[in-house]
Amino acid sequence: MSVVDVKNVSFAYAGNRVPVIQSLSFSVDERAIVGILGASGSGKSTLLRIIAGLETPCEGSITIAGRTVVDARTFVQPENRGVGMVFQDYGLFPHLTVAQNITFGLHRLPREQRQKRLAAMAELVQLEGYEGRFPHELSGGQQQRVALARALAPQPSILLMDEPFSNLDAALKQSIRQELSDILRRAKMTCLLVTHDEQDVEAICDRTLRLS
Amino acid sequence: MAERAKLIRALKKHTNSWLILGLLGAAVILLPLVPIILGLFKAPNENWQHITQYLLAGYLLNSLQLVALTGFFTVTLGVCLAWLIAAYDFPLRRFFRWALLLPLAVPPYIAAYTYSTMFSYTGIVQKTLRSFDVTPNPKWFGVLSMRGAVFIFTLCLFPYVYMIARSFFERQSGSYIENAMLLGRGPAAVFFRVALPLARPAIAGGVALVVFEVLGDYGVTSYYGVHTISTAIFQTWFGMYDVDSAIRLAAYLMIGTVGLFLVERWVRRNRRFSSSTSKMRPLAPRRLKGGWSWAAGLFCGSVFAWSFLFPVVQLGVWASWTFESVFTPAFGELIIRTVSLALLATVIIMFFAVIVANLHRTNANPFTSALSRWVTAGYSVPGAIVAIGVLACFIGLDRVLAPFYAVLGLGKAPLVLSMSLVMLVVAYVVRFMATGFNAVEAGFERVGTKFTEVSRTLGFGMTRTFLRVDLPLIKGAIFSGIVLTFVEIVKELPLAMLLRPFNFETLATKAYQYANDEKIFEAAVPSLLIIGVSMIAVYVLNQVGKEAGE
Ligand SMILES: Nc1ncnc2c1ncn2[C@@H]1O[C@H](COP(=O)(O)OP(=O)(O)OP(=O)(O)O)[C@@H](O)[C@H]1O
Ligand SMILES: [Mg+2]
Repeated sequence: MSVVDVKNVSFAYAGNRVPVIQSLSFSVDERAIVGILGASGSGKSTLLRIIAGLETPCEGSITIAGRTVVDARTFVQPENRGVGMVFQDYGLFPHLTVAQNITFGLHRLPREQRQKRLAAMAELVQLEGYEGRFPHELSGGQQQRVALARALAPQPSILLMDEPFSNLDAALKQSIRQELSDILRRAKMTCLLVTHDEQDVEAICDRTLRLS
Repeated sequence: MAERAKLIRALKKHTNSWLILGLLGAAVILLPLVPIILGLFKAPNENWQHITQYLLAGYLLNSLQLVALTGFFTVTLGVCLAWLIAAYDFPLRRFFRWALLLPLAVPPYIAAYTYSTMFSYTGIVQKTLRSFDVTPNPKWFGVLSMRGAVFIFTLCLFPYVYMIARSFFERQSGSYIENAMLLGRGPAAVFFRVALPLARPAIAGGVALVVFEVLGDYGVTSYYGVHTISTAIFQTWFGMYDVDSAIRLAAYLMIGTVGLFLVERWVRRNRRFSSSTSKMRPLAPRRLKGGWSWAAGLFCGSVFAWSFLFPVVQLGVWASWTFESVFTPAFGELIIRTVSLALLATVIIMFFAVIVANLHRTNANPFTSALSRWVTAGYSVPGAIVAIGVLACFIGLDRVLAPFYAVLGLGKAPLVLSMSLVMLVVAYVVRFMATGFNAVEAGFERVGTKFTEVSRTLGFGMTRTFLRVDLPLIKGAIFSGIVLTFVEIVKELPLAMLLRPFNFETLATKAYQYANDEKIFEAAVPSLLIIGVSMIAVYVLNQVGKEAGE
């Protein structure tokens, strides 16, 4: 069964005549990890933003977990789409601790379950003992793992990742790539991953989607 | 069909309580301007004939002269000081760098009566001269004139130009100027051929603030007997009781200021472009040698002394004479009333400012940018226009509500709203929304939309996101917005004079009243209080400037 269905989606930024994305269709199966490749400026980030509900396509429809989130008459707000997103520069809230960042999206859970989920997430990304720190007290790789834990915590139906490795140096990238692959598979996550790097795709992804 | 479905989708997507509240704020600001625009289409009365025939040309000429002269002198003084401080190093430069902002804390109307008294026959200047056996012709000191008004406005308002030009020179002109110097140009050529043309948009922004301030002034011009369009509005209103003509005058003045507003936008249209081209190197000031360095220090020192030190010291002396008789319990009450009124208006302003700024930031589209432009238009509308518009609105509202009042047993067609403080609060909101909005917008700009988007994908709606994420991140900006707006309101004169209910005084109207009754020494106490409060705002402005530079 497919988790995400993108049908004939076209998009242009306001004031631009040339569309960034034109009649794009694809679907992502459950638990698949799909790499999105393409040259700089080909619309990779834009595609993720459309799926997350941060931009509105001018044509086409998107279905997530069997529910239409956008078509000509529907628009589901990003907070109601059940989509997790890891941004390129992570966007960790600077005024919140690691624990508060990770539990941010769990406001609908009772307190006890929230703590349980925090512990599970910290274990998953191997950050036990860092819960009280603030983002600026973490290394780049640790920040990335917090962002990942935060996006996974509310158990989204799909995880969107925009160039998760671009802020890491080559050596760190090697180890984290493997780690990420393990984490995603352990969490049984469906994932769309934007990258520049063919090696990322080989190491992590089940299949690729090329934007031009 | 598809277009219609999409339109409905967009409406559904954007319609939330934020949009509704934002529209409400815009309506509050629009309403007072409606009677003024409508006034243009009414047939003029006989009085208007008289006004256009005998008075209008004179008023217009005075206004233009005042604006042109003040503009010229503030630009000359402000730009020279800005260049001196930004490009050169001399004794006490670091002190003058912020001290030259302090004149902003002295409202022009306070400087006006302080200086006219200091220069009068019994004032300190002529007395001192006489004690040296110099008996000058008193005519030389006749500040109660156009000359005096220009002098006062220049001293009080040059910091607007200075502030904006200085930060431009310091931050954005470094590499150009160094290049020009490397190409072998002398200091004069560098200033006139490179720095000045580059800074033109910044200077235009500063001088626009000066012009709006001068056009909106009531205190200085009426005290010095200079008849401008603004004072003419008051006169036809209160002197001739001819509201229709006053509205018509206001409409003409508004057309003029809207024109200026557009010109300013046009001059500054490339501002964003020029500041975002690349990371600019800050300008490193060069040491001045010997006599030049003393001359520079002396120049800055005398501007500082005349624009801030002398009047404040003089007020301090006067205040010490009258403190006991003025500072009664009733005066304490007056302070409390002024502060609570200003706080109330500030809270309302910040509320709408945050709503509109957040709407514009999260849904940047032509509609929201028009909305944000609209709510900030009030700063360019002179106080006299706002006052008369608000009054006309509330009298109309009272008329509409008359049957309702009758039910409440308030009598036949009473003036309830138009006799209350509500009117003054609304006028403050219209006039000073821009101050709060600009502070909030600057805060949002620094934070960006990244954290907001993250929060949205984590299941928080717009309101919860604002409370949990945006608010903690921009609380500094909101705080400075609160301080700046609060201070503007505390020192505001014309709106308070015109719209306060019977027997209601603010610090500003009290000070002005004293001065008008020739009780200048008594006026010193409330004046110093206003200056003290305003100095907090200058401090905040300076801090904000520092942060923006980092
Ligand atoms: N806010 C915006 N307004 C207008 N145009 C934009 C905006 N954001 C991106 N674009 C344009 O849309 C196109 C696609 O941008 P996008 O960020 O999706 O590319 P990308 O594939 O993620 O590139 P990269 O690999 O460099 O991150 C680019 O040409 C870009 O210039
Ligand atoms: Mg990108």
